[in-house]
Amino acid sequence: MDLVNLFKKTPLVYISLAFIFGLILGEFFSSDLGVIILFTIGLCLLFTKKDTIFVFGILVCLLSFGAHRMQTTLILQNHYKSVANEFHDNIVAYQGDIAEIKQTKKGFKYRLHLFDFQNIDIWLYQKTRLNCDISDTLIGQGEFQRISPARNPGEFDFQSFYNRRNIYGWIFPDKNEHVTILKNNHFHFGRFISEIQEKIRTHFNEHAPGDAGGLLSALILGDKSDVAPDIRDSFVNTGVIHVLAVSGLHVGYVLIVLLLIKNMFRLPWGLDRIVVILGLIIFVILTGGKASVIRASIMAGLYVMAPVFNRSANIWNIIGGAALGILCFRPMDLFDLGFQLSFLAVGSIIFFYNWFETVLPDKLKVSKISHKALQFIWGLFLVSLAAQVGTLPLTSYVFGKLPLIALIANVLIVPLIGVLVGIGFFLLFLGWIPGMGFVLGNSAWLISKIITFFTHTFSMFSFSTININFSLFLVVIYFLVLGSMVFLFDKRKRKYGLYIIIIVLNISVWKWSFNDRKLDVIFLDVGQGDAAIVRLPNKKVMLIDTGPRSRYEDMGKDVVLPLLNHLGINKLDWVVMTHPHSDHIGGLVSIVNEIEIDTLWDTFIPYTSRTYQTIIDFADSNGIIINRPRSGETKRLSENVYLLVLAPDSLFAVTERNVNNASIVFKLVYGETSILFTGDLEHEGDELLIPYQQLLKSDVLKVAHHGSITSSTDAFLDLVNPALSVISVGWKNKFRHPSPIVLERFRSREIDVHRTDLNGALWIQSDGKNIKEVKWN
Amino acid sequence: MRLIKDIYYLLLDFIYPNKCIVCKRFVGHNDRSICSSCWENFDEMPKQNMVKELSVNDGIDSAFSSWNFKNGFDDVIHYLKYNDMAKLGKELGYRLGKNITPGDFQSIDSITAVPLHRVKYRDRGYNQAEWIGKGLADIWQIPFDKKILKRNRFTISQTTLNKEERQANMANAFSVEKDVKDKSILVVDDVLTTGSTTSACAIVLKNAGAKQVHVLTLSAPSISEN
Ligand SMILES: [Zn+2]
Repeated sequence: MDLVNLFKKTPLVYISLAFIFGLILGEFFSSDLGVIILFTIGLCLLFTKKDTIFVFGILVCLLSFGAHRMQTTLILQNHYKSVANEFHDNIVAYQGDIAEIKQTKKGFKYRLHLFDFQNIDIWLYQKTRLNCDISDTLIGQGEFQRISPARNPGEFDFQSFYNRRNIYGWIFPDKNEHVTILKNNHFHFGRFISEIQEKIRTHFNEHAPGDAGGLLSALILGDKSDVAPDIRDSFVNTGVIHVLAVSGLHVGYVLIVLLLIKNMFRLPWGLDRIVVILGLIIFVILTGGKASVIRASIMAGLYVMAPVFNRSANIWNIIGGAALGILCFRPMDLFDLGFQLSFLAVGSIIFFYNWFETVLPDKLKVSKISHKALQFIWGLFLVSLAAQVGTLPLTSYVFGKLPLIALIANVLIVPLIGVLVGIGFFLLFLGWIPGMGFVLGNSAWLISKIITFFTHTFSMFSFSTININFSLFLVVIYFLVLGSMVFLFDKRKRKYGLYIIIIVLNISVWKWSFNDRKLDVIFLDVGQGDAAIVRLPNKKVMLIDTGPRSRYEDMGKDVVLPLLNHLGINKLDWVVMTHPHSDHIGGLVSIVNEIEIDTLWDTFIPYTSRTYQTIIDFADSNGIIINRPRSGETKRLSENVYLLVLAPDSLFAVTERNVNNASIVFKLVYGETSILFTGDLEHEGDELLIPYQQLLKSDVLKVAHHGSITSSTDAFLDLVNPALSVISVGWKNKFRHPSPIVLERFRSREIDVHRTDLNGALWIQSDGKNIKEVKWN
Repeated sequence: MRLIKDIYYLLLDFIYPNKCIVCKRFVGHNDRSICSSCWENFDEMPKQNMVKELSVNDGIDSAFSSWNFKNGFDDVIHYLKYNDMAKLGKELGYRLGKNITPGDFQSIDSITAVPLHRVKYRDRGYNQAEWIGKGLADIWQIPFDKKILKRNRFTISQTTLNKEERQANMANAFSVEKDVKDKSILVVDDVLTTGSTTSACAIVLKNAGAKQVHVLTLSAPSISEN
């Protein structure tokens, strides 16, 4: 079909796509001139007589507009970021209006809009609730901290997330620092809304007993904080958590309620939809303007307004319109997971639901099923399936999980949630009638009981969730295969399907033969402590130290396990405890319980700590092999990966009182590349390595003992002579690691230093010839 | 003015692409819902008074209709009734008013529509016959009054009934709310099948003193098939 007709059918789809391409372009290229040239070309094309060129003109104009929009947004964001970096760690005086108040695990956080401070927003931390409200002004002094970027691969990027919302840092007031509150006595819209939200919340909690109140608040206000953690977990594990995050689904339910209300007012046709539009606007405001709610509301609004213009709405065009509308005002939403999931879900529901209806045998077509209840359930199942088909790669890529039970759970939970939302609205408006409040509140309780019964039951099936590693490459393959499926079912386009399959096979073979012989090493950021993951070319995995565990933090559970999950690692072939100090093995306590371990490496030195004993006992009772490597041994880990153990010398280790000097030290060799792991070795240990001479030479050095002054002697560094060294160290740790003197030793030798406290985790990759850094954030 | 209209339709077509409701092809930057090739494809009836062919015609002086209920026009009626497309009624009214002119009737003082029952009206949100009537009134410059007739009872579906039952079903279904003494009234509806509904309207209008009652509908099932 010719281009112009295709464009005319759904212009907003192509326009929004052009705009999105522009946004992406603007992210990579920051040339103003380029944008101006693009725009001029676009404008010129608009004045030609030919339709095809005219369409191109529109698209080019939108492309340049998108690029410009992204550039200006990024310039502003980078400016604010640099301001945040500049004030990082400094004591600042602040004065700002409260825009938001949130309760956290450790206290309260106030979102302040700082007028004097470049117009950025910050979170002000307070241990207790201040006697103040939204729009009041707070004045005080405290330490400014920028919002830190993700520390490790796969971690949620709070920096981007908050920066998109114009929040650039935290302020932590000193212990006895006084906060001055200036009350605002004028009307303030934000405060008015938050008061209404609070009223609705208390209304629900008063009338709906048990968990129902919290669930209703989550469903109608989009505030999950009142939902009990165990319920939330069961929703996560069954893959239905999306029903608790206000989304397009809820707008759908709200629309049904609004259409019912619309018919109750006897307004003339045309004016009647004001009720719907107003209702949607109120809902968007009450739920805090989330992308998914705005998306669905724009779509619903455009849908009900179409007849007023004597037109019918095209669903794809409306989706395009919603995307364009949101991205014009909030271009950074493009990188927001909620935005992406929302559009992916609605797109794949429409596409695949229709596809199922065409390719399924007649007996299984929803429109051909005569039994009403059966039709409803089957239809719901197909909608759920269609949504999952499209969103699965994204959710799996992000969360590393594939909840299989979600398909069935959604069919049961989604309609029940719809009923609950309906009851919620009636409770909201009719709850004040004495009998009504009781009846509605208790029916909400009953429904939420049924819902939680289902989610708890489903989440008990442990097999229901599969941990998978969905790389970006697999996401592409997934969509290609899906595309070929769609084509294969269509007789006329079958050949395209075959082409795609051939392409996919080619890419896979190519990828498999070229890419898969790499050695990955990730030095994790576990604060003050060590942890590194080594993945061999044959996918076997070695974990070298596991990070610290204390009363406040457990790096095994919070950092190492999530990263292993993210990488799709289900088994550790070797776990090396370089030495039994808790900043190296503390995290292992949580890890041994979650993941299969084949062999454990330990030093010779006798040690007695609860942590160490727990691990050894676990290993003994679970058949984990314990190895005690000694200097001089060579271990062959895989075809061409060797490991030379350089320390400890068994005799030295037993007599040495300093546990650090008993550290297992080894050089990992892959082809021509090598990495030296040194544990917490100090200079007494360094000296024993000197006889190895040229053997010490390595490309990468894991600096001993977090860069302490007691390690990394000149003689040792001269022999190792690395190009890159990694210091695994916590920000502002009490030991004051790393030592400036040690840093100077590296600087004078022109060795690059990567500090985990400053730059987060380091991911390097070796192909046997060269080592290069892998960008993960 | 022309320019503003062009720009308006150009912008409107970005949000709501103007697709023909019958064949789904792009119509153009204008206010038409049906493309010209679909209009040509519709089966236009010869312009003739078909009151004699109605199985129920008591009280009706003349009855006209414009398109046969086939060749896609059945889709148009369905759209008009069930897709919230009230304005389509007005558009079709314009077209109808060009096909059939006031001169085709003896005289018309006032236009009205067959009313919908309250419940049905609330479900649908509009009365499609009323919007057709508004279109006619606009183009003919004859006053339209939707309040002349009122529906009193919810009549059960006509399709399962025979002729006598239909008449019984219709008796007293309507009442006249305005003064129609010595006036000629045109009653508008979307489809004319047996005539029992319009005839019931005509009878109450005549009883209230109306001089003449004429009937005009968009469509009627082709006579050969009836
Ligand atoms: Zn057509």
